[in-house]
Amino acid sequence: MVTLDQIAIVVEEDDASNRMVPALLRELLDALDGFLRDGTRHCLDLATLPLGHAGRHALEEALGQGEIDARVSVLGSSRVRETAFTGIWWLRHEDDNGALLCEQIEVTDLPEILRADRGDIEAASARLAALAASLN
Amino acid sequence: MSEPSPAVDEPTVLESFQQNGFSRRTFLKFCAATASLLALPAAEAAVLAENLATKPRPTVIYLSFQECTGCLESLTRSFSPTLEHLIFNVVSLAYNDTLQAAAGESAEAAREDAMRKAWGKYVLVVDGAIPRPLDGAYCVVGGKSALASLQHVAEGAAAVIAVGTCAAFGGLPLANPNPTGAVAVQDLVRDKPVINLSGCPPIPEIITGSVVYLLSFGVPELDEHRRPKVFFGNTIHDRCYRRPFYDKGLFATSFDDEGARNGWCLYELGCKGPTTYNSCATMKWNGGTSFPIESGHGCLGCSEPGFWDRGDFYHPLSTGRWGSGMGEKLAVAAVAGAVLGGAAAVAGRQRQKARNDASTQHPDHPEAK
Amino acid sequence: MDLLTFARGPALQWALVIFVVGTIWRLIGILLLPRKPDFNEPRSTHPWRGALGLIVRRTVPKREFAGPTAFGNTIGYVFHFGLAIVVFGFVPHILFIRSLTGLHWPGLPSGVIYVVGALTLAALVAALVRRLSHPVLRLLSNADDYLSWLVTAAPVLTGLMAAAHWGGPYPRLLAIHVLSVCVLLAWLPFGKLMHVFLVFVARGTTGALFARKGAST
Repeated sequence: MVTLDQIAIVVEEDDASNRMVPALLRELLDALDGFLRDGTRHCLDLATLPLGHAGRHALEEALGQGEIDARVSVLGSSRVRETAFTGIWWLRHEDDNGALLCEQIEVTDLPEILRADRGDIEAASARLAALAASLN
Repeated sequence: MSEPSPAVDEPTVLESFQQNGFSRRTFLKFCAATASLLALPAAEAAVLAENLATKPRPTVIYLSFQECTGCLESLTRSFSPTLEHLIFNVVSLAYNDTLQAAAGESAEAAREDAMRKAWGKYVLVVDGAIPRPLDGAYCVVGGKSALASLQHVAEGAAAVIAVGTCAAFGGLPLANPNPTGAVAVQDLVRDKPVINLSGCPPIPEIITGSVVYLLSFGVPELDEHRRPKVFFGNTIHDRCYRRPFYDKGLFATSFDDEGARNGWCLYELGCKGPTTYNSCATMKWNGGTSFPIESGHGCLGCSEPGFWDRGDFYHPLSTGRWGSGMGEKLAVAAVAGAVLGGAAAVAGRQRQKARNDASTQHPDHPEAK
Repeated sequence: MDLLTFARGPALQWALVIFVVGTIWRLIGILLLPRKPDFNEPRSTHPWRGALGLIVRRTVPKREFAGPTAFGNTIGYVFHFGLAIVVFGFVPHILFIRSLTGLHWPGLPSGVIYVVGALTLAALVAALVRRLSHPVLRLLSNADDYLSWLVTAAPVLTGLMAAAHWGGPYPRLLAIHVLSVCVLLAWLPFGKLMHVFLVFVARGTTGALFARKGAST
C-alpha cells in the first residue's frame, strides 16, 4: 500500500516536453521525405505543441543553424532561418513591438514568405516605370 | 447557411492588402499569426490563407446598444490581427458609430445602403444588451429603438456576432433588478447563427480572430453558450500558471500575506477561474503582457452568464451562497429538532406506559392476580 | 438562476436545515427514551470509561472472525477512512466547513485527494457488489441500505467527475456534485446513515452497560 507522502505531485512539464523532441524530429523526417517524394510542404506551429521551455530549447539545439538567416520587415519583423537540415526552416514572426506572434517550422525548399509574389512584382514594375518616367 | 458571402464588387482579402500597399508577404504573415491565434492545425492554416486570398471581404455592420464601449476599447488594442488590418483589409466596415467619420443621417443612410447591397450576406456585430419593454423605448439611437434596429439589421445578416457579456448574456444591464428589461442578442435573434464572444470586455484577439475565422471557414464550433470552443474550450483554472499551487494545496489567504507574495493560488480569495471558460491564461491581455491572476487578483468570471448577480467575487467557490443569517437559521433548525425530539420521546414514554398499564391488567399477568 | 447558484444557495441551505433538524430530532428522541431502572449493585463505578473503551475496541475486528470477515472489513475501512480524508482533507471542502463553523485546518494536495477518492469509490463499488452477491447480506438488506449506498457514493463519483471535467462543463458538474451532497445531507438523519452519530451512542450505551455489569467484551 502506498502511503500518502509517497504519492508524487508532478508539476514540472520539462520531462514530458523533452520526450516531445524525438517525436517531432521523426515528424520532420517524414515531412522531409514527403517533400523529396512529391514536393508536399509541411508546417508546424510551435504554439500548438505542448513544448515547455526546455523542450523548445532542446529542439532548437537538435536542429541547429544552417546557411540562411533572413530578416523580413513586414508587420514588424520576421526571422527566417534555415536549420542545419537543409529544407527545414525555423520562422519567427514578431509584431511592431517585437512581441512574438507565432513560431513555425516549415519543410520546403523556400518558405513562401521569402518568395517574391507575381502581383507584387507587377506593382514594383509599375512603380519603377513611373520613377524612370519621372527622371526622364 | 454556414459562412458569410461577399458584398458586391468587394476585393478579396489578399487584393485588399495589395491595394492598400501591403505585399503578399504581409498577407502571409497575417495569415500565419491568425492561424496560430486560432490554434489551427497545419492543413487548416493553409486553407485559411487560401480562403482569404480568394474570398471577397464581407461587409460588417457594428451596432452598439446598452454598452460602455469597453468592448470596442478592447478591440482597438488587438495586437494580432490588429484592428487596422481587420477593418481596412479583412472586412468592409460599413457602420460603427464610434469609429466612423460619418455621423447623423448620412451615417444611417450609408448603413442602409451597405445593407441593401449585401442583403443576406453581411455580418452583424452587436455590442451591448437590448431593452425589450415598451417597444425598446429605454434605448433609442437616431430615433430608432435598439430592439427595432437589431431586428431590422439582423434580418439581412448572414451571421450575428455578439461581442461582450452584455450582448452575449445581458451582462450589466440585465443584472438584478434589470430596470430596463434588458435581454441578450440570442434572446431576440432566433433564425440566424449567433456567435457569443463574452467577456467584460472580451479579449481583443478573440474578436478579431473570430471574425477572420467566420470569413474563412464559417461559423466555428460553439460551446453550450454559443461561444467558439477554440477560445472558450478551457477554464482559466485549467490553464492557469498558478494551478500547481492549487494542486499542492498552497493558497493565498489575504491579498497581502506570504502566499499572495509567493504567487500562490487565489481560490480562497474567491477566484472564479474553475468555473470560467476563457483564454485569458493563455492569450493574456495587451499583447500578451499579463492577465488578472498574474496581477494578483482572482478571476471574476466575467465571461460567464449572470456573473454580476452571484455576489461572490471574494468568496471561495466551494462555499454556500446564503447571505447573512445562516447561523440564526441553523439555530432555529436545531431548536426545532430538539422540540421534535423531545415530543417524540414523550410520545414514546406514553406509548410504553400505556403498554405497561395494559399488560399489568391482563389476567395472565402475575401482578393482576 | 443557474444550476450552480441554485445548488450553492437555496438547495444547500435547505439541505443543511433538514440535516440539523433531523439529526437533533433523532438524537434527542433516542437519548430521552425511558430506560429500565437497574437495581443491581454496579460492578464498576466507571461506566464512561467502559463506554469509550468499547467505542474504540469495536472498531477493531475480533481476532476469531478476522479471516472470514477480512474482505468486508478491508473495504469498510478503505471507504470510511477514504471518505474522511476526502471530506476533511480537500481544501475546497475545508473552506466550506470554515464558512459554516469558522473551524479550519491545513489541507492535503489535490493529487492525494483524487487518488483517495478513486480508491474510496472502488471500495464502495466493491461493498455494493458484495452486498448483492452475498446471499445472507442480500437477505438482510432493504431499500434503506441501497439508498444510503447511493447517496454516499454519488458525491464521491460526482466530485471525481468534476475534478476530471468528465461529462460536461465544470460549472454543471460542480452543481451536480453540490446537489448530490444536498441529497446526502437531507437523507442522512433519516436512514441507516445516521450511524455516523448513532454508532457512538449505541456502542457507548453497550459499553457503559457492560462496565456496570462487569462483563467482558
